[in-house]
Amino acid sequence: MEFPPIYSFPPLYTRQPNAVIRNKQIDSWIDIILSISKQQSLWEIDSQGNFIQQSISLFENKDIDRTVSPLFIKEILQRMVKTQKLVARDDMSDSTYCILWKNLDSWASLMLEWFETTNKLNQVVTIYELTSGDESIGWEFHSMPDPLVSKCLNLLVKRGRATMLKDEYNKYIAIKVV
Amino acid sequence: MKRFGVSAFDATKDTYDSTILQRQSKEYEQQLKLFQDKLIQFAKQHNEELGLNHEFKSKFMKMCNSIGIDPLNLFDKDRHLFSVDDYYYEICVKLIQICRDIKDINGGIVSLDELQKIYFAQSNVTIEDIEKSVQMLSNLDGGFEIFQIRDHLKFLRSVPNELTSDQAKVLEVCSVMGYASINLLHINLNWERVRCKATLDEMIANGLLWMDNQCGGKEILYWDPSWITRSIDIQT
Amino acid sequence: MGQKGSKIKITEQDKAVLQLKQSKDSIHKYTRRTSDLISHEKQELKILIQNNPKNYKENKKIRFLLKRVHYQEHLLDQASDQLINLENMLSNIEFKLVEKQFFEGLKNGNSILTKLNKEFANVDEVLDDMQEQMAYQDEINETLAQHVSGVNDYEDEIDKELDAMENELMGKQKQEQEALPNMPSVGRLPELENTKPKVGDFTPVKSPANKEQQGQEPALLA
Repeated sequence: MEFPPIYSFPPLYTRQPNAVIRNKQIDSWIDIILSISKQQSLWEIDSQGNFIQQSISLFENKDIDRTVSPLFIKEILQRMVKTQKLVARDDMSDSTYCILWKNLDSWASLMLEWFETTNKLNQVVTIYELTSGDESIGWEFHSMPDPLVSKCLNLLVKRGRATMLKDEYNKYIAIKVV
Repeated sequence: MKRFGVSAFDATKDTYDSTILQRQSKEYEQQLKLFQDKLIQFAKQHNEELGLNHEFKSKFMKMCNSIGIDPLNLFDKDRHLFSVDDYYYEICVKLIQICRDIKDINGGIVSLDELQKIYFAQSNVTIEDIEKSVQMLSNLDGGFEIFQIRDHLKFLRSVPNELTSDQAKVLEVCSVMGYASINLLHINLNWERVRCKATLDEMIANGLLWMDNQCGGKEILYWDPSWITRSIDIQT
Repeated sequence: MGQKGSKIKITEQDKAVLQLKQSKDSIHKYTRRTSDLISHEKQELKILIQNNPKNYKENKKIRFLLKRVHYQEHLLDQASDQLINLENMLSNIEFKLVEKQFFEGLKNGNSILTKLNKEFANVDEVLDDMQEQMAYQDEINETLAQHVSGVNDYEDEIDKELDAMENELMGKQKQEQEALPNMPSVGRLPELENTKPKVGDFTPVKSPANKEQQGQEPALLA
């Protein structure tokens, strides 16, 4: 993992009392979270700041023995929700977030591009095929978890470009893009 | 990742794709480098014309900028490319840009060392050049000023509020360890604890220092933000 | 099967394709899992051999593990074949759908063509009528052309008469000129009378009447 130099600056882990500095500090944290998520293809984070797929404790830096307090982590995550870098994974609760190192619109456009370049228009494509199939290896959304995929694909539906198909448990399993 | 089914055949294709792409981008890079070199050469040859014709000059600079040549690379102090003043003006502009960008992190105080090593790393600007440019900037009343601590460390202050002598002393202490603390100041400078705390608190309020309360449960440390880039030196 | 309020329709074929793709996905998942398992077991095998460099051929566990790997590989091959079959099937279906579209296109085109052809049913009548009209048009053109030539003739006639009149006048003048020195003779009078009826013949015939007469004649003939 590649961290910016500020990651090893001890005060970064203490909530700064000066508001101007604190804004900059939170921005720095957001940059770090997004760039690490992009590097490692991390998709989801819980409200305590733990990544779901991998056990990376970003907010604890063992090299300099510093940890961000849970309260400050919450503040950082809340800022990310506000700036739409995070979006609640399920509509019901906000205990888990999807990390948007690319915004939903860009993801939707990228997927549309995939449908167009791999000649998948006008046919039913399963979500598994889209994110885990061999044909999407090398595309940035490969391995994207289903809840986020549904959010992106819903945008395509809203744009009038697609229809989603559900299985018997009312879960989205496939899409047809025209 | 291993593939199965028909797409197993695609795997080999991909590697060819990427090698071709790599080669292409390498070639482009070389061409761009060549073009940049030629442009710099051109600038050196036609120095006089460029100096005389302002429109020609500004268009030429614009073109250089758009293909990624730092204008500073076009200047050659010794051969008086363009005119010497142009060179320093360019540094002035850069200085203002840099100071604005990093103001929120360091409260407007940055060491000349850091400026030269981190932000002017791509061009061969010396500390003396920066000092001379700051001299020119002082005419603007923008509050740019160089001050010295511990006799040899020079800092550039880009915000109008003056440093008190106490604050300068704190920065001096920070330049050794990266941080200061009430105890540290008390022991080394023989200050009253109240004076230490007041000075440090004020510097926090001005954004000159960052607070760190995780030093093994002991006292609070006050860090100088220039320490962030100092670690780059250690790594490289 | 959910179908949101969208204009894009999910057809029966789509549902069938979806089922195929779902089974393809599960085989795909299986191949991935098995291939992971195989590489993991192979790794284990290597470690076991390293740990028992001497009697690894007799080691039952190693033999068993190798057999297991073989068996898994065999299954993987089978799964891979099945995957290819499914993929073939899917591309066949896709192609058939394209063919179907092509056929639909042909069918539509054909029906439009027959429909259009039907509209040509009374084409003979129209053509006959058209021929008649065209012939009539030709005639009109011809007569109009004659008109024009008639007018030309008329102009010529006028020219001729004017010439004649001029000649006459000139002749009279000459005669007068010649007669002046001499005494007027009687022989001049009848000559004058000769020309007079000629002028009288001409004047009552007015030009439009003349035109009409000439224009009507061919029309009556037709």
